[in-house]
Amino acid sequence: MDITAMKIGDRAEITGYSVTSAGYRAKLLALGLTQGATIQLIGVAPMGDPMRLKVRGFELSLRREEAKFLRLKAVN
Amino acid sequence: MAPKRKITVALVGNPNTGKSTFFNAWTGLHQVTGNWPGVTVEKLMGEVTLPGGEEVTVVDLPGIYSLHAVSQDEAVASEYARSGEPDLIVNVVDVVNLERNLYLTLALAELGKPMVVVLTMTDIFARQGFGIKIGELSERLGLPVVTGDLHRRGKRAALEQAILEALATKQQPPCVVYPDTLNQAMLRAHRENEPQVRAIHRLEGIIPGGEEIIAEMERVLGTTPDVIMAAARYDRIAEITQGLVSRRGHARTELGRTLDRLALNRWLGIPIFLGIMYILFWFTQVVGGCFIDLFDGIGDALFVTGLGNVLTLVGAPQWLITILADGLGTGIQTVLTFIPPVFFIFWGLSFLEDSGYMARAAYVMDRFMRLLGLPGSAFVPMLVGFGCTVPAIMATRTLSNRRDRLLTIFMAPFMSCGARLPVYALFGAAFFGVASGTMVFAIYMSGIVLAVLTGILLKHTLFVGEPSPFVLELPLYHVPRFHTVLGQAWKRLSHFVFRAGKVMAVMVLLLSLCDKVRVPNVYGNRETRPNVPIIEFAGRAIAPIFAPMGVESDNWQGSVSLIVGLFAKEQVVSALNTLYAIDDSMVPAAGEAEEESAPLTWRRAAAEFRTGVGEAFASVPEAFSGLLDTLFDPLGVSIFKSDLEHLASAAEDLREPGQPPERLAVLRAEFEGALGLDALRDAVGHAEATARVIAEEALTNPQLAGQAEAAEADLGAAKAALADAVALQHLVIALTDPESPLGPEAYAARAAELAERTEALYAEELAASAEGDATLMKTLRTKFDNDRNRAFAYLLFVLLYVPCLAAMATVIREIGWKYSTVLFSYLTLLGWCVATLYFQITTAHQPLWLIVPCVILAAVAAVFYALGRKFKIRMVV
Repeated sequence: MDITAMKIGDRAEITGYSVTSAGYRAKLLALGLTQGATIQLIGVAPMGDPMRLKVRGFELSLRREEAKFLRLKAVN
Repeated sequence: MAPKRKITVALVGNPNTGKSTFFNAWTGLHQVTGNWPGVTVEKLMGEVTLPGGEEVTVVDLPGIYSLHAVSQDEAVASEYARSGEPDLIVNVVDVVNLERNLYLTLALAELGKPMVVVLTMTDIFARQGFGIKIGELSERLGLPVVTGDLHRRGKRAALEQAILEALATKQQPPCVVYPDTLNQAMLRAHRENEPQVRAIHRLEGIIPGGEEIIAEMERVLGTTPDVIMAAARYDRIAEITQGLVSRRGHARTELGRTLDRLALNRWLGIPIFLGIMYILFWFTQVVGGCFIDLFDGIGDALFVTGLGNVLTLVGAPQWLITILADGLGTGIQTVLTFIPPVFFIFWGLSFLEDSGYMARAAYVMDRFMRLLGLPGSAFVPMLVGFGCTVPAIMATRTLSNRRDRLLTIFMAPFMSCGARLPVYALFGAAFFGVASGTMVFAIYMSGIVLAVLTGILLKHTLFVGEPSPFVLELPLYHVPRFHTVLGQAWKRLSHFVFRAGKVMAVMVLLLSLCDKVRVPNVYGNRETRPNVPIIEFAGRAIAPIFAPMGVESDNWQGSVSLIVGLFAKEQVVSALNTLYAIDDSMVPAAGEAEEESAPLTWRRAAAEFRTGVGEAFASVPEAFSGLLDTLFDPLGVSIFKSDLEHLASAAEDLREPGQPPERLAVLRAEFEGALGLDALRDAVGHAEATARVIAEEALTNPQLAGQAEAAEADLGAAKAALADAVALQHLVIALTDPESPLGPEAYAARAAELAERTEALYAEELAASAEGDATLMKTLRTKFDNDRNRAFAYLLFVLLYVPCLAAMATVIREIGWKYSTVLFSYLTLLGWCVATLYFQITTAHQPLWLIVPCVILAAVAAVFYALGRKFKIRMVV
């Protein structure tokens, strides 16, 4: 699944990256969105986008469209 | 004695780690700013001398999350850290986000340079109930670890000790254990005679040369090497941090979460954002604005009048006085007047940044601003632009991406600034009457619509390319530290004063000289006015250009005023006022003739200086007294209503007897506010001082007797005006006293008296000002053919053409000559085209002048397109 399928409060594990710009990927990797890391969707901005995620104990905001390339697996 | 050792230290860390705070605490005031070669990123350096005499140069690098750079700022930081220049790396690590920060630490450690780790945010961490074993961390990292709270005793010594130790010993930082597939790839990417780390960087895509291997790995393994590396690094970090952090008690971030539930709420988020922006705007424009007269007055007393007087007294030649006092002095004075708004905007922005709200604002507004291809945080400079373009352009410094900054700077001048409002007000009064408000609204909306269209045009032409992907960390909220915020604001202010200020002063100097130096009058009546200032000459020379937009050649004053408006847009009003008084048929106007004045003496110069400075300081409390009224009118739209109108309406309201005490108090405050007793008292004080000085000099110089008499008469008039006002005030006090002993009849009589006297005062003032104003407005109406559309076209041009010199200087310093030239040409051409199209469509209907603007606009778009392809803005995405 991809990030657009997540609802607020959902958790998911990152299983891989599909094609995206190397710079964007490098930044997300540095921020800890590595294979096996867990993210949680904690909210969306007033106009429905961007999203607010929790990863490795801090909060990060990404745009829906741009973060679509994260391959995810739902976690309960 | 051995020569002093020089050490260069690179300060590297994630964004939002308190790196700047640490840098300031360490190097204090010994900082220098410069530019990194070839780019517009600011280079910040500080000097520290160690107790052993070693001289340390600390280079503060822009915040990065990894060595892989996306923006220009990040490229600068990554390249410098990897270069041979720094002897040592000080890595700032935010202990609250330890894991994430150590990712960069491991990448830096692979470079093999001596390194020291500085932990910041330890106070917040402790307050949240956490503890960390620093000794253990240092052991596991194989690097010295100190804390960044340098204001505590012994911490500075510990830092400096750690640096010397790191330089003296061979450090053994932890190696990341990469999986075999990656090690094999690394062997293939490795070249002879270079450190191993180059192979890692090649596979990560930080340096070129590894593309083939990367593509192959992606084909075979289904993933790129950087993904595998990152996972391996985070695994290593998990090992290092295992059991390091202890928790005592509960985390106290509940407040932060509550704040976020409000600030990021789907329904409340935007209203809260707009509310905060409103306060920011009010704070900058109005509170900051209270100090403008202070700086303006001091600037005049010191550099213009003061310097001019001193130069005259020491017998300097007139041309030198013109250049130094009228030119350079006016330039410096202009820079000074921008200090309050720029300082206040930076104060407000630093406050929002340090508190953590700025990131939230970017998050809340992102979707909206993306329509223009800008990040959410670009909204702030745009909004500030409604106050003044100069702080708006400086506020774009909060945007990290160069393309976003350029686009925002290109759009900021479209936000109609406060200085243009008096021009609209004058034309509103002359042409639009009660429709003034609608007209002004239409102008503001035109600016916004054209800004949006410009944004869309530029996005597809000059600044092609996708906006940078959005990765925003939402830092923890914290109470802004007063000295951090103030220090940050101060640093940015000094940057403005010493860089933009220099350009600004020179530009104002040149334009002032054009205003003073005279050339033969070619266009006008040579008999009455043989010579005219260069500005007037130039304005008349280019006047035909403005004919298609409705400023005909007999209205050359309109075009000259536009040039004078370069000083500051509001000066268009005073220029029109003066210039319409000069008609070619007229004899030289009073202002043109050399004023006969008393000979200047040191004593008189000193008195003038004292009065000037005194008035400057008196302006502050005066401005503050009117502050609260502006809370609901930050744009100053109430300039459409005069003080005397307020006075008359308050007096009229008082005629109704038996009003509740609260209402009476309001009316009394309103009345007293409009009465301006302080200003009248100041006027008396000023007249008294002048009369005294002249009278003293008249004792020794009988020629001055006439002037002394005139000064006495002025003083008498000022005193009479004050006495009148005081009498009115007494009446109001008696009327508004809730325990007033007045009977209904007495009340009615007094109220009638008050209304009558106010009315009389109002009528007198109206008559006096009407004489001046009415002439101006009458001429204005004649010159603009009594045509609202003609006037509106002119105002459209005033809105759009190049901003004032101050804004231009700021733009030039921020984006360089090339882009500035493009921006200024674009603004002026667009202004001309829009005004011409408006005038031709509504009034003139000349096909030629409908076609020409369209052709010009198409040509501009084509040039932008070509330029955009030629000079692609370097984006390393």
